[in-house]
Amino acid sequence: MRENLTESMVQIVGRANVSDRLVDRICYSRDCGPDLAGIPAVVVRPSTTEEVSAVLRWANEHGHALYTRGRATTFLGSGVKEGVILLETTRMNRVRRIDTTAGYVDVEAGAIWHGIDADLRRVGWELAVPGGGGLFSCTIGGTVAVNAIPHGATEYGMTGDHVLALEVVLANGDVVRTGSWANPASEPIERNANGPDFAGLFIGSYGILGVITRVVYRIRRAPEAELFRFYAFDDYHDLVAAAGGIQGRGAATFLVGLFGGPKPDGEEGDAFLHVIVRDRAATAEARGHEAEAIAESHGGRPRPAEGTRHYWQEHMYSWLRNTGPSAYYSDRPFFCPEVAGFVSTRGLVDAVALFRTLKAEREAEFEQYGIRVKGVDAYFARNGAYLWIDTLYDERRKDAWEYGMRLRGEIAERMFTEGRMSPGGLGAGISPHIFPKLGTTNELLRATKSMLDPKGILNPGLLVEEVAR
Amino acid sequence: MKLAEYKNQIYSCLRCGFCFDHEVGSQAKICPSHASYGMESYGARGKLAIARALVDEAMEFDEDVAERIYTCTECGACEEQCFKYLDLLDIYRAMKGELVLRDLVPSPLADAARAALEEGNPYGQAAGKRLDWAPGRERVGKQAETVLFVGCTPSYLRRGIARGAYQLLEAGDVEFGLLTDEVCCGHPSYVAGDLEGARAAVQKNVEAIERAGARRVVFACPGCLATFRDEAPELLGRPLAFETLHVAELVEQRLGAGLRLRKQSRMVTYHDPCNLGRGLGIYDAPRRVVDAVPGARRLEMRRTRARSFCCGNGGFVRLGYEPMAVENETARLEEAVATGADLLLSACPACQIAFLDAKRRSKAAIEVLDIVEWLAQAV
Repeated sequence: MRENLTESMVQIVGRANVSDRLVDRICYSRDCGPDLAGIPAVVVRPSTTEEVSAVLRWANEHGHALYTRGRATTFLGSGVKEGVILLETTRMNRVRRIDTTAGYVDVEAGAIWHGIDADLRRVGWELAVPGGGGLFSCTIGGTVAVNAIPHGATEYGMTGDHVLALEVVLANGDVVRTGSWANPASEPIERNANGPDFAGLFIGSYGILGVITRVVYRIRRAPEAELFRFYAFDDYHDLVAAAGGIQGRGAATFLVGLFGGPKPDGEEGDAFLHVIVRDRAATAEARGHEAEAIAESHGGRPRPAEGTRHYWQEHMYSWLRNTGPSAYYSDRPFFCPEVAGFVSTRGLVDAVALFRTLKAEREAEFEQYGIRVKGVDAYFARNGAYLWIDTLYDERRKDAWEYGMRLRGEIAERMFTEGRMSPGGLGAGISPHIFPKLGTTNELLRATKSMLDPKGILNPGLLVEEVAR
Repeated sequence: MKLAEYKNQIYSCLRCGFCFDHEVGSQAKICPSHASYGMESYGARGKLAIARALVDEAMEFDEDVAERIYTCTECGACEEQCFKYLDLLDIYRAMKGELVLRDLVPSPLADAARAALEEGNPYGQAAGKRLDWAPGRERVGKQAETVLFVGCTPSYLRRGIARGAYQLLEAGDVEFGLLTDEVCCGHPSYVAGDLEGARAAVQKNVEAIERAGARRVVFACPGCLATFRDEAPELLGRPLAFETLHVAELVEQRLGAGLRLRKQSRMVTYHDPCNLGRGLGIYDAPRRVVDAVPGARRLEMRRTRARSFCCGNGGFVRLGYEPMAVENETARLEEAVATGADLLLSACPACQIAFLDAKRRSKAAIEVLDIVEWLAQAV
C-alpha cells in the first residue's frame, strides 16, 4: 500500500520531493507545542498549485487522509495522525508580485513571513501586520490558515483582517479564488467582491476545508518612527484601565500587558505594560505623549524601555521580560501547553483574577510536577485583549507532561466558561475544549466540512471529529 | 560525549525553525544541506528530531541517519540562529561518534580520514612532495619563534596559497620556519567523528611544533587553525604552549609594524569562511587588511559575517555529495557576482576550490583568489 502511495506521489511531484523514509517522516510529526502526534506515511513537497491539486485529487479518490503543513510553528497541536500523507508547502515560496500602488503582495503559501517582510522592506513597505503570530518563521499560508494573533494587534488588528484574496485547493482538487480575484478579468484588490466572503471561510479553518496555495495580502509603508515605553503598575486593575484608555484614544500601535509569570529583570510591581507606537515621526511623538499621559494617570511608573525595543526590533517573541533567555526558562527542556483567547478589556480583569485563583488552588501540584508559569500576558487588540496563559512543564518527565496536558484542559474549560474567553488559536490541543460549547455554530462548521470534504480527508480530527473513511 | 549525554539539549529544541532561515530575509535558506535537499531531516530542526528519536530509541542509527549527518557542512549557521542557543555542532559530532562506532561513515570521507592518518594528507599524495612548493629549503626544520603550518590543501592542491603565506611572512620580517614533518592537522578525522584519529594527528603536529621551539603558529587554512585553536586543547587535555593565528591576522599585526602594501585597484568582495568566521569569530582582520590595500574597494555580499552563507564545501561534503556542494557554491558565487565586485576573496583553500569550480561552470567574469595569494601580490 505504502509503495503505491509513494509512487503515486512521485509521479506528481518527482522523486526528490517525496519520502517514505523514517528518517524524514519522523521530522514531520510534532509542532512547537506539547501535543504528541503521529508519524506520516509519506512526506510530499509540491511546488505548484497544480501539484497540490493533483495530490488532493489522488488522496480524495483513494480516501487517504492528508495533513497540510507549512513550518509547523504553532504551539497548539498540529494533530498529525499516523499514516497520513503529509503535504508540506515550503517549496511554494515565491513572491509573485509586490504592488505598492494597489497596496498588496501576492505570495505563494509556503513563503516565510519574515522573508516576505524582508523583501518588502527593501522597497520601504511591510506586511500589514508584523510578525505573523508567535513565531515569524511561520509560512504565510499557515498563518492565515490558523489566523494567528499578530504583533501590533492593537492598531493593526488580526492576521485575517488583511487578506485580500486567497487561492485554495479543495479536497476534490478543484482550485478556487476568492473576492475580486474570482473574476479572471479582475485583480485581487478587494475581498468583499463577487458575493460572499469566501476568504473568510478558509481563514482560521486550520486547513480542514481546503489547502491555501496563494495569499494576496495588504501591505503598508514602513513607518518613519517607532517609540517604546514601559510601565510598572502596583495593581493590575490600573494597567487594564490604562490600556483601555490608550486603546480608546488610538494612542498606541501595540500594547502588551504582563499579569503573571516572572517579573521583568530588575522590576518591581504587580503588572507591566509595553507600549509601542509606530507612525510618521511627528504623529508618533504626539501619540507617544498621549499614551504616556494616560498610563501615568493610572499610576503607571515609567521604566526603561530597552526590553520593549528589543522585543519588537530584535526578536518579537517571548522575551517580554528580559533581552535573552533567563534561567527561569532555559535551565531545563520545557514545553508550553498554552491556553489563550479573546476577552473584552473589561473582562480581562476577571480573567486574570480567575487564573490567579486557579494557580493558587494548584500550588502544591505545581510544586509536585515542577510547573512554572512562563507568562500571563495580553496582546491588546482593537476592542479587547488576547490573553495568553503559558505554563511550562519539564519535557523529560512523563508525569509532568501528563499533568501539563491535564492542566491545559482544566484551564481551558474554566477560561472558556467562567473566564468568558474565546480562543483564537485552536489546534488539536484546544479545539476539543471549545467546539462542543458552540452549539449550532459547531453544527454549521461540521456541515460545511461535510460539504467541502465529504470523505473527510483534510486534516482529519482537527476542529471537527474524524469521520470514518 | 555520547549522544545520550546531550539529552537535555536535544529535548530543549523548541522546533521554532529559526535555524532554517531566521533573519536572513527573502526566502533564502541558511543551511546548505537543507537548501539542497529540502526535507527537514537535512536541517537542524530535523536533525534534532532524529537525535531525539535516537535517544528515545524510537529509531536506530543507519545509512539514512548517516547521510543526514554527513551532508552537514559544519558551517554553524544553524547554531548562530538557534533561539535556544543549543550546541548543535556538538550534538552532530556526538551523532558522528556513534556512526563511527557502527562503521557508518560514508566511505569517501572514511577513506580520506584514513589517508590523512596513514599518509599524512587526505589526498593520498606522497609525503615527500609536501614541501615541493617551497621556494627553498633554508626554512625547513629551522628553529624559530614562528612556524608556518601550511596544511594539506595549500601544500598539494593550492600551492599559490602556500607560497603566498611564505612571501607575506618574509615581507613582514617574520623569522619563521617550516616543519620537516608536518602532517594533516586531523580535521578530516574530526569531521568524520573519529576523535581518536584526530587526537593522534594533533599529537604528532603539536610535538613537532614544540620540537621546533615555536611560540607562535601561523595558518593559511582556517580548518587547520580551528583544529588547533578549538579542538586540540580538548583532544590533548591541555592548553597549547603556542599562539595560533591566521595569516590575515598576522598581516594585520605587521601592517602596524610597517608592512606596506602596493596599490591594487580592485572591487573586492570577501567571503567569510565558516571555520574562520562563525567558528573562530574572525570577521574583522581579513576586512581590515583588504581595506589597507590602496585602491581596493570592499563590497559586502547580502549574507555576510555571522549570517554568511557557506561555500557549500565544508565538512568534506564534496567527497560524497558533490551535487549539493555544486549547488551551494554556485549560489554563493552568484551572490558575490551580484555585488559588482571583480574579485572574490576567501580565506580558506576549500572555499577557493569551490568558487573556482563554480566560476569554471558559470563562466562568471569575477576573479577568485585566496586572500593570502592576493595580499602576496601586493607586497
